[in-house]
Amino acid sequence: MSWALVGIGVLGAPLLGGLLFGIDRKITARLQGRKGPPIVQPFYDVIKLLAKDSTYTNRRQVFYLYSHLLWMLVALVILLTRQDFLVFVFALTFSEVSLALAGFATKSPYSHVGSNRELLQILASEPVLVFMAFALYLATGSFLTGGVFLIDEPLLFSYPLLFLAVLLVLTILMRKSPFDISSSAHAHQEIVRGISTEFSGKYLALLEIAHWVELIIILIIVFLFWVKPWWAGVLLALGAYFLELLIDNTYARLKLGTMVRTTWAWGFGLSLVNILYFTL
Amino acid sequence: MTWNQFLLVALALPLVVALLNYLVRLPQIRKGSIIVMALALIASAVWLHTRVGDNAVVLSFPWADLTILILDLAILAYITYVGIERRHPYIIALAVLQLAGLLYIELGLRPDVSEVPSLVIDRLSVVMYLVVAVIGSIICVYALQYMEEHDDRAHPEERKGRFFLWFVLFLGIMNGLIFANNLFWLYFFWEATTLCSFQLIGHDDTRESRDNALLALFLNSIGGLAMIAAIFLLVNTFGGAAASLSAVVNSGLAVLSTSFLIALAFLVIGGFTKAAQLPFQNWLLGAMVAPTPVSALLHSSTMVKAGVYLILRLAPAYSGLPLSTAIAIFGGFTFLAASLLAVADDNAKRVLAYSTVANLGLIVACCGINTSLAVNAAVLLIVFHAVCKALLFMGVGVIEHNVGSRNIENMEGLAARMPAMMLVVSIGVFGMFLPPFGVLFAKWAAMEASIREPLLVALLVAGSTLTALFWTKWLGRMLSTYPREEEEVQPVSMPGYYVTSLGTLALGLVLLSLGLPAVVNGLVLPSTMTWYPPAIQGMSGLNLAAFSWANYYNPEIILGNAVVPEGLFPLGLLFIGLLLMLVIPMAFFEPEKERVGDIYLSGENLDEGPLPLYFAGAMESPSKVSLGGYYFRGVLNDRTVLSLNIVAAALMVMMIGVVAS
Repeated sequence: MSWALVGIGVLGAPLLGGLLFGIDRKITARLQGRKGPPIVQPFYDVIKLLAKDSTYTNRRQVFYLYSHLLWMLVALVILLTRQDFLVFVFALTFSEVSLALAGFATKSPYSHVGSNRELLQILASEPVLVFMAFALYLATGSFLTGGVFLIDEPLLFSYPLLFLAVLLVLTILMRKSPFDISSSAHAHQEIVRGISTEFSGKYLALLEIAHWVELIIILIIVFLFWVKPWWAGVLLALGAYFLELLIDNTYARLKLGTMVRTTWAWGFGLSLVNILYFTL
Repeated sequence: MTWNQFLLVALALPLVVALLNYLVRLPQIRKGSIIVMALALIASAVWLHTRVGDNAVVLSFPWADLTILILDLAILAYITYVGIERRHPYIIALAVLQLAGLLYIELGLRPDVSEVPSLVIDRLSVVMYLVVAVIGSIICVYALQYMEEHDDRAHPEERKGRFFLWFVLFLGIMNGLIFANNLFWLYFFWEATTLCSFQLIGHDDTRESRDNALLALFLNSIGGLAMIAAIFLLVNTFGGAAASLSAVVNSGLAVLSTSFLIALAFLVIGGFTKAAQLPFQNWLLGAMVAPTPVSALLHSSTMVKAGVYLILRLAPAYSGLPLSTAIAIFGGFTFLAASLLAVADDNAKRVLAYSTVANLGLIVACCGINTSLAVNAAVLLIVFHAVCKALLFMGVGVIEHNVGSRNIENMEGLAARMPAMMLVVSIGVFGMFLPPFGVLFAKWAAMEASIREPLLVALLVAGSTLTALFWTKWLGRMLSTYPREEEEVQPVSMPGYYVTSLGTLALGLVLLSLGLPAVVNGLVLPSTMTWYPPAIQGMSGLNLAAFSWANYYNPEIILGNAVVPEGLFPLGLLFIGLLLMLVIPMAFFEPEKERVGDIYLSGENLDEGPLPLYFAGAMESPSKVSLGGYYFRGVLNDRTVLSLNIVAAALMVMMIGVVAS
């Protein structure tokens, strides 16, 4: 993929992600019997945030918020250029760590609770993604994401259990119920807006844009399970996305401990069993 | 410079400086002599780097064999005396067994070691020497200032003399250890590091430090005994010529002889004790009561590296055997267990110690994986971990002297009070897990190499995730400041010794990471090329190509044809990311045009003075905002430690079982 395409990807990912968030809000509203905002509402929101007077609580908060968005984009570029999946996971993890540090940077009880929970979300989701890197290697002989384009059978067929585990952690990465623990879009949590309580104005906009990029990254991860023909992967990704929406709207938030236990027992377990099965 | 002159600088100079400081005890002499020694050691390291090529330098000093033996016996006698004086039956038993073993080998078996070279210096020794001499020297400079602040009791000069005796002596001993080839010499230097460690851990002479020093002596004596047992087996079966490290590494006898294999396993167990692998980790954790330079020098950058150095050095000898797999699993387990325990600790030095144990576990796991990629990753980890940990320990030492505590909870808001230390600790911590830095690169290589052992994969995956958790938790506590706190507090100023030593290391860490390809091609690859046979390299699933891919960034690499590299570390891209991370906030952030907001306290904020924050609590009473970190004590407690130790001990028994069958 040439640099021009990478550029298009980096600029296009937030747009597409924002649009998907708009669709998410529309569907969620309809499921709840409301009319819902227009599909481009997320863009209106971000433009409004960018136009606001900017306030911050300290410089390090600003630094780590930029870092969050930046490393999210680096992770996206690694995926788009079909590079090493393990390096991608490291970049994504650092992006999440930056977000947690931005939350920690202010001495605010709500954002601290949110940051601590964000760390546990990383703890819950990262292992499955690392396992996916190993699955890629075992299936293709390379840790490079590009490897999946060279094999004929979709990754899903040899790694169905790992796919289930990925679906499980997608809920965490997309910050959807029942695992929207560090910061929830819904009004059903006790820690105000959690990790993002102290972000405002353009810094909150940065966070929103990072979420859009994150959503695209997540969909690409699902896409990798079925890349040939490409539309099958796209359908798989969209299917997973709408499944998450459905779960989000039908489940209440679970407790922190439940999340870590569930993902480590099931996510870790399913991934490992699948990899062991594949190697034996 | 001749080789003899080099050895005078590397081995004799520290001895002379150590004795000088013990006898003279004048601040000017101490500062002058140690700074001169530091510069001489660094210069000698550069000289060594240019002088040693692909062929190892072999040096024999048969006339010194008897001296080494006498010194060995003296150390063992002293350890027995300590055991008797402190009424520690295990130490007495271990020391007496070692004494008996050594005497039996020398007098009963009478091995002819005249053909065994005393010292062999190859590229791996050069890498180790660079680590010990350069980092050790920087820590010595740091210690000059630190000890000024540390000892405030009676006879400070006398105590400083005693401290620098053992501290500087240690450098020379460590240099000997990494060059030693004759196993009796290796054993001597091994025991001498144990002795120095015992003296330095007990330096503060409190009840706690004396107890922990004794614990270190006890656990390291187990390693000493394992080593004597190994030497006995080798000499008894193969004669005196077998008492040579290079012969053991290259003989290929492990598949033929059971006693050789058992000797190998004993040497590895000796390495485990020194590298504080579970269940021996307690001596290293207890050692954290020692003054910080000791923790920085002995217990993270150099002495514990002696343990992994031996295991790494022996890698070709056990390559392809079940023993190798057992070592890999054992190291992987230590990596996971130590990372888990680090999450639950709120003592900064103990967190660093656990992280050290974890990283040593990862290095051991790399040795056990025993492919070219893994072994190279192990060498790289030794280098980068030493730099990061020295920096972190020294940073924590300065913080401890200013804050008066090494508890992470008391470091809250340090970003405003000590911005320079925040920067240093941030560089050190990011050095441990931010993408372009060396440790993460080595970890990436290690994880990609671990694919051959699915069980190991699981251990590394879990451990690696926990690593990010405890580092971030800690950084988060330090970052946590009130709005406008920087403007209210006066930053603490730093003495010149600290600025020099910490600045050099921090800058060095950044430069080494920037020059990662040069480090890999100039230091790491040559070091493994000479002693790790190409025959084994051919067997590795992931080959050296993976390292050369790391040198540049090329997104086109997998298009066009079906040739896909097994792994690729996009160093260029990640550095662009790091650069932008620093530049973007500078470019877009205009603090003068923006407003500093108050934090959200449910709208109940009170203005009770500038700092700290108050809110209207129950009955409108002003309540102070106070926060604390998560330590998961409900899940991770003493029972966890115990069960992890039991599993580790069981793994080690299984390892011996694997060897015996």
